[in-house]
Amino acid sequence: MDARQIPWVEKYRPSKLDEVAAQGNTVEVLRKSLKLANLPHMLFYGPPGTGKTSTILALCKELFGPKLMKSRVLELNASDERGINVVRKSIKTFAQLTVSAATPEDKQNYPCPPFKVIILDEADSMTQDAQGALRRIMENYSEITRFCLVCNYVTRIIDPVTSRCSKFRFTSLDRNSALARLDYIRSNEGLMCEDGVLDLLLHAANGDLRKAITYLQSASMFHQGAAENGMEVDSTTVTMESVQEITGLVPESVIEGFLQLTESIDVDTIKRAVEDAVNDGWSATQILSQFHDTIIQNSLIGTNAKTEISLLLSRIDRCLTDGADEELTLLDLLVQCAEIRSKY
Amino acid sequence: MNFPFVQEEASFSDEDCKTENRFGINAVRSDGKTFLLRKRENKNFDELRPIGYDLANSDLIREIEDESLARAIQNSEADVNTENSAKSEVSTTLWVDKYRPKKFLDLIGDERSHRYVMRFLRMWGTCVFGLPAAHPKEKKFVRSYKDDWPKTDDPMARPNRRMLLISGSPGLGKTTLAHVAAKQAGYEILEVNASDERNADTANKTVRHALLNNRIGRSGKPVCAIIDEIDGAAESGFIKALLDIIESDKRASDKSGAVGGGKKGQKGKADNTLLRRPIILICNNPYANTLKKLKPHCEHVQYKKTSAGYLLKRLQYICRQEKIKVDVQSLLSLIDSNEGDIRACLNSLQFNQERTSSIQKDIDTSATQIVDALFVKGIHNTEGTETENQALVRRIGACGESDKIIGGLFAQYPFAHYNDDRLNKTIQAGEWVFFYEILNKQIWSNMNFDLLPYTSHAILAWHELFGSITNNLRKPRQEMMKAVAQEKKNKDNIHPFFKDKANMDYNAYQVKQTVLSSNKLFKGALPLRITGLFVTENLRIELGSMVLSLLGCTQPLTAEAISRVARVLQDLDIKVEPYRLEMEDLNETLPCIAFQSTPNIHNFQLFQKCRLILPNLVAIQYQMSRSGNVKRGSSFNEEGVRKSKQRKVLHESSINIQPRTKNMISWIHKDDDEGGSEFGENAYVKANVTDKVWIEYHEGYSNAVRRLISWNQLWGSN
Amino acid sequence: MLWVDKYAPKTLKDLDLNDNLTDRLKSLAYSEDLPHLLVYGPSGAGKKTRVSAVLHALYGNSARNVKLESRTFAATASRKVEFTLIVGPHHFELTPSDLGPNNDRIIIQELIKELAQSNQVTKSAHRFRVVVINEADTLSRDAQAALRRTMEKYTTSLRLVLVAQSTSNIIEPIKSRTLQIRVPAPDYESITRVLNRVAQEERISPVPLPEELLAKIFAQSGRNLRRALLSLEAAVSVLPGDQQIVVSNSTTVPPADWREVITEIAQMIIKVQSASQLLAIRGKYYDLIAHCIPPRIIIKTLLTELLTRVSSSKKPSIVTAAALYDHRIQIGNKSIFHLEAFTAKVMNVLEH
Repeated sequence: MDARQIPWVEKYRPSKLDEVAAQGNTVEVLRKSLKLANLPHMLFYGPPGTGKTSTILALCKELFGPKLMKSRVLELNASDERGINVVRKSIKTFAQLTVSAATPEDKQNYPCPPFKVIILDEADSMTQDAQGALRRIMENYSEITRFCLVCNYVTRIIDPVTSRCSKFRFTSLDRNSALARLDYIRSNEGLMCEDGVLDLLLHAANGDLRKAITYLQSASMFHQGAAENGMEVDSTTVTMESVQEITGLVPESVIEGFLQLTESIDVDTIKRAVEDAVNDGWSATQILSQFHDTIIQNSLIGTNAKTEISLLLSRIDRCLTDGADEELTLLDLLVQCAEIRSKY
Repeated sequence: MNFPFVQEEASFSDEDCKTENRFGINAVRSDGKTFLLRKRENKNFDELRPIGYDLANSDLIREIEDESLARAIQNSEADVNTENSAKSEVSTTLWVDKYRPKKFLDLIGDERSHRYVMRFLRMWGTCVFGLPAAHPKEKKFVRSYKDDWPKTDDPMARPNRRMLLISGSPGLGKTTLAHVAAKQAGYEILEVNASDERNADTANKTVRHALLNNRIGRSGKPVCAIIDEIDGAAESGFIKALLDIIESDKRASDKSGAVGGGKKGQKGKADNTLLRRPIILICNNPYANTLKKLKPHCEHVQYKKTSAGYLLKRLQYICRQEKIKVDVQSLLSLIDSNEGDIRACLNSLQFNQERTSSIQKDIDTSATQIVDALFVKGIHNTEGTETENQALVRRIGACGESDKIIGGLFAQYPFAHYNDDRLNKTIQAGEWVFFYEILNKQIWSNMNFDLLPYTSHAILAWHELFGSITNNLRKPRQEMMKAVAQEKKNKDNIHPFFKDKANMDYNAYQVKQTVLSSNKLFKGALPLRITGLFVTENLRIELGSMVLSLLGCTQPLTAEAISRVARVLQDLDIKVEPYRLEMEDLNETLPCIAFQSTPNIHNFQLFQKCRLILPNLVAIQYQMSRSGNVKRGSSFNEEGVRKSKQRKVLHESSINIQPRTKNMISWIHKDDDEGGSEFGENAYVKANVTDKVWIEYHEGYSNAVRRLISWNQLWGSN
Repeated sequence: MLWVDKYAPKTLKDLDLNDNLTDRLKSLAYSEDLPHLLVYGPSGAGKKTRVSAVLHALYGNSARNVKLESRTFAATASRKVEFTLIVGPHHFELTPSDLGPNNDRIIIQELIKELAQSNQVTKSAHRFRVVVINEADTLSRDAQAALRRTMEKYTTSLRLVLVAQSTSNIIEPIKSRTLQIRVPAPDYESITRVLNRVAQEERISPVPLPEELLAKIFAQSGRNLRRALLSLEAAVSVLPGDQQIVVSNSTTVPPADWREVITEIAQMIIKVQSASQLLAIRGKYYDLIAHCIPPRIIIKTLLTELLTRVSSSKKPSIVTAAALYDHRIQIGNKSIFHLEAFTAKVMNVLEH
């Protein structure tokens, strides 16, 4: 396969625990268990893109080595069918299997502990029933099988299961280590970037490193393709503008414009502005979240007004999630916002 | 009798022992007894005597007279007998079966459909029974029906569309109609309904054999297939098999040509078999997807609701027969609450018969009754200590059709008495509806059945809002009906959704189905490259509107403009085609052409607002440009027109199209001096004899939008 | 040919609006590898035109040889669903939302899997085929989740191009797996330029078109280029003249029929606020709904019409009401109730 077709997220997935960025404490504990060549059942939780899946995969690789990993590790993620039937059949079958013997070669290089690992990625989207079925399996076959559940929301995992696992919390990456990783990838791919592009990427991705890497790759596609075909697109440098396009970020000027409009209740002007924004193709949810940031950071708006606007924003967000019309909803948002501001 | 067969054989050899007569062979057994070996009757179709074909048949008339006489006698008997009702024996048959009409004349309801079905079967008579083809010139038939009747140009006078599709809501008597008509027409019935297994195999085994192989039923009559509930669980294989039958028939018909199609000896290949027996399909929803492919091969009858009057008479008759006493009011409310479903009426009548006086009470859990009750305050029967509201909640819960109740409340609340301040109550009602919908969503999509009891309260809220002691039971509904009647009188303002007594919601739904299906057709007919430009939703609101505005243009147009419009239509692949109207009773020298577009754009019109005059003008142009003249806007030479050989009128009028077209337009705008007269769904415009162009106002395919059109509506300026 | 069709740009080179975007598309189309795309923007902005231009760049003229094909899928054991899709030699185009939210998942799972798994028999230079999914934002969550897996699994043989009006209703995992391309609607100057060019080709005079005529067209179409072209064609078609068609400021642009009805409703609301008026309006709503005018369009158009007619102190409440009832229509299933409640609410506001 053409190297370019591999998503960078996979290409730059850490292959060793040490490469996992900025999860100090967790990695420390895991490294210890690596030394002991033993693992408890584990539950990884934390916001998306913080390296949960990378960590467990790296750990497995270091435990078993690439060859043995195929027979010792079962990875299931949310896009696989994971109803109760799958738990009962494939997971159980895999859990029951006797441990395959490791080749002496592998034994030399890797710890190769005598158990298998089942990774359940995005475990919070498993049904309650399926989780219930899981708990007996975890106990019955704990001799030869370890489970690693990976999820965003630990509350969605039923208590009996969490109590069987040791929990590891993953925190959002701090800006510096994330930037460092991004920059490493950038230089490895030979990509030129305008100043501030990486910052913008991180900002748009909201701390989600995976997202930021995907964005970076997308941006590179625009520019590399052009360069290879000798077209006149300015160069291979990734510009702020193209990042803005890819991430769907609404330009600050638009958001600022909206904020100004809410200073007085002028429905007609607001309507025109909203129509323009919608016609320009900006997504309402994106506008909403950026508008929220702007409001919260604005020092000219009083706390009471902010509280009320936040309430309004959450209501509007709900409407959008239900699929209400973007134009009408945005219009409503701005008009009500203006009314709130006129009160204080 | 030890070896009877041997002995008999022996006796047969003796010539003296058997004599032949016209019944069969007389054989003598060895013990000397004679017996008859019956000859199998070799029935000839020509000898079969179908009854009831010709409505003018003197036999039939006699039958009618007998019938009415018998009825009169029965009625008087029944009146006498009501007194001794106690003596009547308890019967276990369902009334629905007991009083199922047995003869064509027993049928009540939509007469037009009855006749249509009969007519359809009658047309098969030539093929099946060898009767002379029905002549269209027969004056006996009411003229206005005739235009719709199945058309035929088959040598065996079979209808062009070989099957008949009867559609209508449940319980109106569609199945009964099919059975009775077929029986009356002299057929034996082969019924296939949803309870039978219906896959390709069965279809081939039963239906195909029965229909294609001249099969005669046990009673010695030819078979007529009635396929019930075809929109239901019919597997696609079944539909396919039916289609195959039609296809093979088509091939066979084309082959056999004009002569001798009906003769037995003509056996082609197995898949080229003539269809010799009628097929009747019955369904509830004619728009079902499964029927899409069958529909082009079907004559379609939409069976309408029986009017309450007929129904009442029938119910009264049955009550007399069954010797039970029910007052008219209760019967009416029974009909009302069952919405004209005869079957349901009879069922509730039968199982309430012991307590005839309390019919009212037992059926008052029906949606209509509850809606009526909700508008009234202070008169409700309560049981024990419960309050009025509790009683209502109980009834709503017992009914279970909360959607229907909400619908009824919505339809009727504008006609109830209530005090309101600045429409606040309407707004509140809206809130409650929303609450109700949220509940429903929780209940049905999240299976949260614990919430079910609360829906009753969402409905009860309407009682609080719009209920009043000044409302009488049924008052809002009657008011609504009155408003409908009022609207009807006031013809200019007639609103399409008010015209029927049934609620607007249902009508709107019907229209929507029609529009949707023409929308689909429209989309399907468009060239791919153009459909690609529009999202389905935009097709109607963008392209549909444009076409309508082009066709509805009221300003006088020049020939170039018309040709330009024609070109647009051509691009969109909208075919505007003329067809000849059959109007023998009018002056013969007038060729009549009407124009119809496929897909039917008329269905798109809102409020029938714009009068689509243009199709007719455009069609002429369109026809001509297709048949030789291509240059846009050029005047047409005679040569090209002759090639078009479309209609005499074109030939005459188009030597110089330009002045003629103008003439036509001015004529359309001026000539409405015949105003005031009303036509059926097709309005024929009678022009000066010299103009020789006829325009049909085509209302569209669905009966749901069929209505009377006045001259002024059609042409008048608003 | 319809003008919207005739003057639609066919190749990337022909695209003359939004050059910046065109450059990006070019660089994508000419690179060996095309990522999954999510093309979004308002109606009439030219999303599909751009997608077909990209296809043309990828596959050349053969991308135009498309035909309709219909397939049947088993939705459940007993029920079958029929679905039509547009098939080209190297690409497919489908509109799963035609089937409604309950069935679209099946299409995604079965059809796309089938397309992806069947290997391309013809030895061509193209390593992958493209599946264009129209109206992707109306896909149910289930269907989108199913799509997500498909995207990963068959990425070697298949590229997806999702066309949507907005990204708001697209789930995050899909957004992160696609390259998002925003197609803004052309502004008025661009539309004017296009209209003038068309007028020139069609021998309409004078060019440039009169200001007022353009204003009338804009009033009907907004920034929707497709509608603008249709309006112009509808207006011009009925005019006299053969070689030269002369337009003027007074040329009428026929309004869309449904828009007229909605305008009428707005006038009725302004005129009288009463229960009987409400009933009269109900009939009109029914007619609109029956004719497949989406309730959302009704409420939006009505709002626009109302806002031009009421005093500014009442506007905010009307806006809020419109948003509220639009939301309810979206959640509920009986739009007529909510339309009537909206009308009542507006009447209530007006009476204050």
